[in-house]
Amino acid sequence: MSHPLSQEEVTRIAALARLELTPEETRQLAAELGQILAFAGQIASLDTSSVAPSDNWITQAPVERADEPRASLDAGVALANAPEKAHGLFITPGVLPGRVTGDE
Amino acid sequence: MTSRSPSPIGGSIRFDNVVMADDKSATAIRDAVRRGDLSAAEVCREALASIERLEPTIHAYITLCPERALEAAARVDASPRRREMPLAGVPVAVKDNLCTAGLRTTAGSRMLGSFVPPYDATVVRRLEEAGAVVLGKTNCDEFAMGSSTEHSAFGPTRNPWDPERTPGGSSGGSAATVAAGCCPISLGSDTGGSVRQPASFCGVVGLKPTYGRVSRFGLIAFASSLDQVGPFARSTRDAALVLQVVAGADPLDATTAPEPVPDYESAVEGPLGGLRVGVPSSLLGSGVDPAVHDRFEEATRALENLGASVREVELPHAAYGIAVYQVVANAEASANLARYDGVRFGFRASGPASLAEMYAATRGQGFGREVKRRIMLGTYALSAGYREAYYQKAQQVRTLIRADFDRAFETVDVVALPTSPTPAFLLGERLQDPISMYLADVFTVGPSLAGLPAISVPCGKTSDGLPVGLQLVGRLFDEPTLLRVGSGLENSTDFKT
Repeated sequence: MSHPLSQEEVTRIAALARLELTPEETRQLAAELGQILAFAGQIASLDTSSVAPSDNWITQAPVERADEPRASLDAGVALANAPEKAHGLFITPGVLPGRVTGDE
Repeated sequence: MTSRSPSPIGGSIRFDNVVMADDKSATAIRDAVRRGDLSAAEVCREALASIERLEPTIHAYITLCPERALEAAARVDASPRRREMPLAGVPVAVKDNLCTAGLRTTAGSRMLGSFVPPYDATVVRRLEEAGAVVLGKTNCDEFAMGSSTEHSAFGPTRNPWDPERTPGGSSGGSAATVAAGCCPISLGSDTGGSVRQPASFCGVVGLKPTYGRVSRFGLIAFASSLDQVGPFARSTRDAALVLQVVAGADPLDATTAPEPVPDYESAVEGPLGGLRVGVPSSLLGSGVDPAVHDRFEEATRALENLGASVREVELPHAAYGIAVYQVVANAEASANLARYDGVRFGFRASGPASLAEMYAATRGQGFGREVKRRIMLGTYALSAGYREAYYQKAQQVRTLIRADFDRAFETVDVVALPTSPTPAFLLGERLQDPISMYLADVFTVGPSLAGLPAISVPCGKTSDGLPVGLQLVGRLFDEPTLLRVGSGLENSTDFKT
């Protein structure tokens, strides 16, 4: 049975995912996620009490290499796609609101 | 050498003025360029001209790079190594989620609308070192999330067999440009069917290699336990040629396998006598289009006529594949897509005064609807209180799905299934119903979850002339058998498309 998530639940998940949603998106996602989770929930009926999860089943042993310095991207190249940069650094808004404008 | 039913849009569009008028395969182009009968530049100009003619109808590309392509072709023509190059002068299209140094790479997303990678994906580098000429970057669903190419921020690609229909997805542009005859080979990526399903919808060959067979360095990550890069071609021989070039360990991708790369090109030659083909009949009931069912039965009969034996196999947990895939793939996607935060590259929303607000606004405005839906699902499935019920449970069922295939391969060499339960659907038909869109992958997600190689080869058409694909699934690293069976079908006298 499919039942929509609550809008509060959608808002909580969106905050975890750092996604700003419009009220319309929140409303739509409440219904759609409810449907898809109900569909995915069909696996709940299977008995997996003695089944190991598939984590890492295909990867090889840890791959190691000598811990030696080697060439990497030049700073200018690494910064080339940055939305904002200065003095060889990425520029972002302040971590605390108002830090830049000083209004808090 | 045969090249099957090349183009839906007419035979007058490709390389007509040159030596291989009746065979535009990668192998034929390569041989002609090596001999000097044809220059790479000439081939490149023809390919660009056919793209220019068809692009208004098909929209297979997000970015074309004619100047870069002609320069690359000139380098091939001038190279003293030309005669040894396995893809000398062969035009290739590359899905736009594979990084190309200096050439915009968007993954079909507004988020990366102006992203220019500082390096090449290993597969792109290997293709170019082999003499291939990259024509452009093909359209795809945003971050490869979709089955119709309609979730591209750059508009949908249309199916060359019927422009009102989708080419499939997510690698729809790569499939469509090969089907339309603009180039003989292309690269896509396959997470839950994104090479095989569009190959089926567009009537071309599409191969998803074994997990770990092909480097993913420079592939924009979607779901890291599933993603694989694979080729599209108009014949299994050409698919083998591409796989030969791109397969093998890569120090830049720790998930690549150390297994030696076999000779795929000679693998296509073998006979099928003694081959055991498994058919999971119980999966082929409801939901499978009657024409798809009929073509599938004809294909398995053709395999019998080629000397193979066909027997029943059971895949009792295959029906749970889509549910498992939705949880696992989206959980991984929610983690992989955390990197798009407006700081180091890509789109940044303007206005927000704090870092946290900037992250959320950037992601809210930069991602499209399907990507947001999947990030939300994945975040939910990994969040406190739900992780065990969804993610952990899905990973356990994944083990059961893989065990089903292990058991099947005790008695058969390949498992045969339709690639998709339907032929190409109409544009717009499934956009408002995510679950119906997800069900397009019902037969392809199982091999992906199990890490197995699988190929889609054309197996005829519906009465409306829409292509149908046969999917063959093999043991880990047994791409040679898949290529041999696909080639056998192509050459079968009682199996004409």
